[in-house]
Formats: sequence, structure tokens, C-alpha cells
Amino acid sequence: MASVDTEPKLATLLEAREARRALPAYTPKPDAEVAAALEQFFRTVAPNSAVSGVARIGGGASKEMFVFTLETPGEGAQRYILCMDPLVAVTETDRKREAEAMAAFQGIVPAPRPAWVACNGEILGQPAVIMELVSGVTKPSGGATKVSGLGTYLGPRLRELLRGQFLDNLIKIHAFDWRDANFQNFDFPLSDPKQAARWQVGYWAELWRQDADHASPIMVVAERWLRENLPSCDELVFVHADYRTGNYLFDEASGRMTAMLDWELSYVGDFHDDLAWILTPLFGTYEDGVFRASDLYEREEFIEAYEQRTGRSVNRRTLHFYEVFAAYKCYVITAASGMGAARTAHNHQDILLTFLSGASPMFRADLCRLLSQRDFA
Amino acid sequence: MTPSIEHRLDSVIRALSDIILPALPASANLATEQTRLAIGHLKILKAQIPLVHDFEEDETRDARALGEALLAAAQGGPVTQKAVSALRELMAVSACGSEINAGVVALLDAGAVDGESAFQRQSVAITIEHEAARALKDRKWFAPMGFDAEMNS
Repeated sequence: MASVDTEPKLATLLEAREARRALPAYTPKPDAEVAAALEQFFRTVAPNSAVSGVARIGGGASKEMFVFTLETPGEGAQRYILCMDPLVAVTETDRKREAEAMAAFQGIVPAPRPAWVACNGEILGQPAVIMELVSGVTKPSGGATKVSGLGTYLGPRLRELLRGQFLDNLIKIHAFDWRDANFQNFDFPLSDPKQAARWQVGYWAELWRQDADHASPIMVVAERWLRENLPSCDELVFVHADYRTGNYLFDEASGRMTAMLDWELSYVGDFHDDLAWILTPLFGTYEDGVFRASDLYEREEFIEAYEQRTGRSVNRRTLHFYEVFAAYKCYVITAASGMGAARTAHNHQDILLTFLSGASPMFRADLCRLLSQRDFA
Repeated sequence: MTPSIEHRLDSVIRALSDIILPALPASANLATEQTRLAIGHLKILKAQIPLVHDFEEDETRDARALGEALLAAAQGGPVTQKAVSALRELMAVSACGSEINAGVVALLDAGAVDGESAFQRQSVAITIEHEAARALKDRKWFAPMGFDAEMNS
């Protein structure tokens, strides 16, 4: 692999990903094997504790997840989630980095507390993090029916209860003082104002290069456009990078947000990236012809609310860049990386990944629509 | 005689729906999720199988149309001209859509090296126009998967 112009820690991950390509098919572990591995792990890190109730859980499209109970003398029983990398996922991320981000945000926004990080294959050969289980749901359990599209439909009551929290927590993440956080698993794009965007484009373009099994003219045009239109970033913030409905837990009765999830893609960069991702059509809903980002805000309403609350000015050209980039990333995930993982049988969710590839033409269409907007051409 | 593919798929769907899914314990949520996906996927594949040949031929026609439009506009130095020749050769034989697209991508890459600026601009517009039309057909093809609000409305 030629040297990729991306965050150095991510470049290392991408090199390791390419090296795993030739490995044999991945066989998901049965619950009993996971239970035995957890018992062995805790004999070292929490002697005299007892593991019980190990069960695989569904949801998500990238990590293998198991819920279990750990009973520790003097501390009682606590429920945890084991979150483990498959051989290849739809993106290439680092459990240490994700855990570091979640730990940094304890007490700032609701986030699961990482309890143990085992990135050297101590548990089952794959990098893993064990987090405290947080109660809540990612979507209403019933009653509220989805209008159309892939986005989660919350309905009027939950929308009213959640929208303020959704914005509050985003603002807190963007206000986080990452310079004082003593992060060990992040590099910072400090060399020039375009480096934040350039590093991100470099990471996703490399995923495309490694995983795509077909030549795509629109992806050539899109990557070139992205590289020629990199925006400067005047204010580096902590970017969650997967902030949307579906990636937080909430209590259905009270509408209280209990945890923001999926910190694995987080990085230090431009706040416009989070805004554009939130505004991605696929993650929203359409009801009576009205689009709501994450089923919470209409487009302009969200942008104005963010500007009012933060005092920041949303640069429409930069937002457009990151909307093109969001469509580009979604195409990489659905048309290349997910299919690549399934093709090599390196994931436990092959059938989900191949099913998700059916969404890829939407992102291809979105790229065409966004790249032909004359105001930004 | 080949036993009907449609009936064979129906029998797999029935086995998954009527026997395997109900037998899964409530705690086996990933297995339940994947069984439901398998049933949905098989139903869509069953509907698409009779149409696959026509769909792939249409893909090839569209790739060829994009290739021809780019060849008509291509102007540039030796790198571009070499890619032009390669794409012309590819289109002279009965290449499939993905092979032609590989030639198109090579021409777009070459145009970025020494294509004339007019070709660089035109190639972007041509690619977007053709890809938008193709993406619309692909969205219709995948509409049964339920992701696409516009295609399902």
C-alpha cells in the first residue's frame, strides 16, 4: 500500500486491514465459546468474579456484540456489553480510540463507560472493548410506524422530547476541549487548514481502493472533486462522525437520551462534517413531503438552531463539501466495504452487508445531484 | 428438465419462514434477524432472476453510451490518447458493462493527467449526466429492498 495521506494512526489501521484480506473465512463464535473466553479474561483482570448470561445481540452492521453479567465480590452484579471486531468490518476503526473517546465524554454527554479494553486479542483473538450496559432503545418499540425510507421514525411525542437533547449533546461534543484531553490514540490535523478534510478524504478513498470490486466513473469524479475542493477549517473541534438517530439510546417513557453510541469514527476536524452527516437524506424521514433530519429537524431549522446556539456560522460551501463527502462515504460503505467483507466471508453480518448494498444506488444518485449543483460546481 | 428455480426458492423461503424462524428461541435475536433478512433477500432475488439478463444488457448499453460520449469529447496528450485507444478497442469487442466502465475510469484518470481543460470539464458533466440516469434505473431495481423513500412512494 502506498503511503496514504490520512491521520497516521488510521493509516496504520488501513495497512493492517489490507494485510488481513487473504485470511480464511471468519466463523462467528458461539455464545458458549465467548462465555469461556470471558471467564478466562476475568480470571486475570477481576479475580473471583463470575460471568453469566452471555448472549449475542443483533443490531449494528460492524461489530460483534454480546451482553453478559459480571458478578464481582463486594460489588454485586453488573451487566456489560462485549463489543468485538470481526475480521473485517464496514469501516476500519480502533477499539482503543473509541474507548478513549467514550471515556473522555463521561459526565459531558451520556455515553457508555468503557470498563476494559482488550485490543491485543486477549479475549477471542480480536480487538474488543467491554462497556457498561446502558438501558434504552434506539427506536420506538411499537406503535409509531415508519413513514418511508431507512431513517428511524420517532413520531411527534418523542421528536419533541428528543430534539433539544440531540442538539445540546452535539453542541457539547463540538465544544469539548480536545487539546486538554491527553488523547493517546488520535492525531491532530495541525499542519495546514485543509489537512482535516484531506486526511478524511484520504482515509475513505483508501477504503474504496482496497474494497471496491468494480470501476465506478462517478467515484472517480467525486474523489477528484473532493480533493480539488478541500475546505479550510478555522476551528478544529471534536467530531463524532456518526451522529444521528439510530446511534443513541433513549428511554421510551420519558424520552430521556441515555447514551450516545458509535464513537468509533470520531476525530478532530470540522464541525460541518457532523452537520452534513445528520442532514444525509437516508438517515432522515419524509412525512407528507417534509424531510426531517434524524426525524427531528427540518433542514434549515436545524442549521439555524445550530448557528443560534453555538454562535458559529455555517458556511454553505463547506457544508456542501461535507454533504458530497457524506454521500461518498455512504457509497464506500454500501457498495465496496460491506460487500468486500461479505465477499471474503470476513464478517458475521454478511447477509446484512449484501442487503445494504441495495442502498448504494441512492448514494450514487446523491453524488450526481450534489456534484451538479451549479452554485458549488 | 431443470426443476423450476422459482419453486425451489419458494421451498427454501417456506422452510425458513414456517419451520426455522418459529423454532428459534426468543433470545436468538441475531439468528432471528438474519433469518428474516434471508427470507426477504430470497423473495427479492426470486423476483429479479427472470429480469437479470435484461438488466445486465441494459447496464452494458449504458456503459457503452457513456464510453462513446467521452470518446467523442476526448482531447489531450499522449496519456489521454493511449486511454482513448484502449477504450475504443474495448468497445470494439463485446465487453460487458463493468469492463467498459474500467476503460472509462482509465480515460477519466488519463484526462486528469494531460487532458485538455475543455475535456476535463466536459468529462465531468458527461459522467454525471450518464451516471444519474443509470443510478435511477438501479434505484428502481433495488426499490423492493425498501431503503428508497422516493422509489417506494
